[in-house]
Amino acid sequence: MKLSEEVIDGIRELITIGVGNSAGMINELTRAHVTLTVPEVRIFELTNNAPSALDISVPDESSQVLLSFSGEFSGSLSLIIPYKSAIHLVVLLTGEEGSPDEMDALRVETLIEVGNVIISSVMSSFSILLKSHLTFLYPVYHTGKWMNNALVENSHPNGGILARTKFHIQDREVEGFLFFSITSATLENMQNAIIQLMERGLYDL
Amino acid sequence: MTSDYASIISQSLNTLPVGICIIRKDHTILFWNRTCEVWTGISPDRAEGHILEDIVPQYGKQHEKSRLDVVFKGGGPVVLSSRFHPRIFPLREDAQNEGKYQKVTISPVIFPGEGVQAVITVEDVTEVTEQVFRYRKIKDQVACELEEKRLTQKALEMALSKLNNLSSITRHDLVNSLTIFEGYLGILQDMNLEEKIRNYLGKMKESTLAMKQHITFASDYQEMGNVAPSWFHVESLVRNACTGLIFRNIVIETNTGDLEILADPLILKAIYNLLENAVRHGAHTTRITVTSVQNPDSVTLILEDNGSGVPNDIKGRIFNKGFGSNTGLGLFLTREILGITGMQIIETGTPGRGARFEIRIPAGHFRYPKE
Repeated sequence: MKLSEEVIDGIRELITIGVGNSAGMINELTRAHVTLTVPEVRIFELTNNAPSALDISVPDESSQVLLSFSGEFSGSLSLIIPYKSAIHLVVLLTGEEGSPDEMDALRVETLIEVGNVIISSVMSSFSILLKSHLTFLYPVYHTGKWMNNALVENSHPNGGILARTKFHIQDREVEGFLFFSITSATLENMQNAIIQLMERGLYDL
Repeated sequence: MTSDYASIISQSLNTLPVGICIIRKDHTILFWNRTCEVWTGISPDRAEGHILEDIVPQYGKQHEKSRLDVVFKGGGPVVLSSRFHPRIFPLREDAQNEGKYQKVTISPVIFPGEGVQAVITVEDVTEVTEQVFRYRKIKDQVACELEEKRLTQKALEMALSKLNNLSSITRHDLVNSLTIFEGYLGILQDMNLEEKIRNYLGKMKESTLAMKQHITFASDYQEMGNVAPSWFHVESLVRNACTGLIFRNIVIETNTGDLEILADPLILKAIYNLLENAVRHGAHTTRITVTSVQNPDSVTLILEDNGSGVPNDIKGRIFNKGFGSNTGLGLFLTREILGITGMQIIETGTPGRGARFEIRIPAGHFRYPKE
């Protein structure tokens, strides 16, 4: 389905608000000075060719924190970071010494929490918008092909929202993606809700 | 929810090995399970009906409070990792190690007629956490040791390189000096000198030759083991070794098929030494055969000639350094070269009928590629 530019802007703004709110929580959590930015948001139909068509190169070997939801709307939201960058991010946030080269159990747990903070914050923005009760599964950690992981967790998604997310920590930068995998019905509802919200003004969030 | 159903749920939650605490939106504790009681020493009677922050003070802190609020605002479950929140639920005073590291998850749940509530699950991850710390420590130690070994290896390689260079330069200089010495000896030998002096000059020349051979030996010995062993086709080895005028009237037959052996690159020299010995010391050697015999766990390479053979009284000493009529280094060097890759050599011939050298090649050091 084709969305208008205003709706796409609205979605972009909701993601940015959610990500922005999460930055404050991450700063409190880690005591590292973290800034989060969302330089790019794209919406597309979910096909096998989607990532290449979007000219997005997310390495297959990625770390992914994924939260699935169902109810009136179904889908999943995940934070995807290339594997080595994920290790780097955890090390920067925890102040760990050395140059570790693997995501062991503790680092995975740490990434799940960081991912959970961002995902929950974004979900809060959208759930207010959707005004609907959703059932969530626990956030899970995956490695490997991020698109396959998202599709396995969900049933019949056919739309996707991909937001490039940058972590700026101590003069270093780590890049990841937020990926919303949703059904077209959910996307349509989002569109309607955003239009109503824009008529009222986003300040109500 | 009927009271029977609630009772069943309650009983089930009390059997779980994780702490379960259920709170209302206003943070009033509705349920406090048995594991929570065991870990904290706080009974359900003391916890239920009270505000969470009064029982678990950590939830009074800004960050944990705001994370809890995310659940009630529809943000989905919250995970509090042991890395950033090592211990949220307080432990009882006489606690040992359990609950030292906790992982907490908070999930929204709707009870009919009760609205949104939060289920706080506390997992004891002490064992896993401490294992990970131990594993990291071992990994760091191993990395350190590997780095030390790498530096040591580098230093040793550098030292070896310097020694090799020094030896090469010294040998080169010695050989040059010896060549000049030989030259003057030659000039003297051409002069019309009395026989006694000519004899002395002859012995000096022999000594010079021996010195050169010792220098060559030192060079070969230095080379041994410097290059990794590689695979050699035996028939090709023998063919390449028997070049030179010394072999022009000797029939050399090789019948080893596809046999290949793993050896130091100086193996060519070793085989040459054996063949040359057969001719030089065999007195009337006209034929040398090279064959192989396969054993259950090895192969024996046999070099046999039809010369005079090795007398029994010296068989045990022919591989010793310095033994023999020439420099006494050839068979010693041969044994050393073979020994680099685990090969052993003995002499098993019959005096008067010819020498027979058997080289035992262990498993893993021979192969027949076409099989």
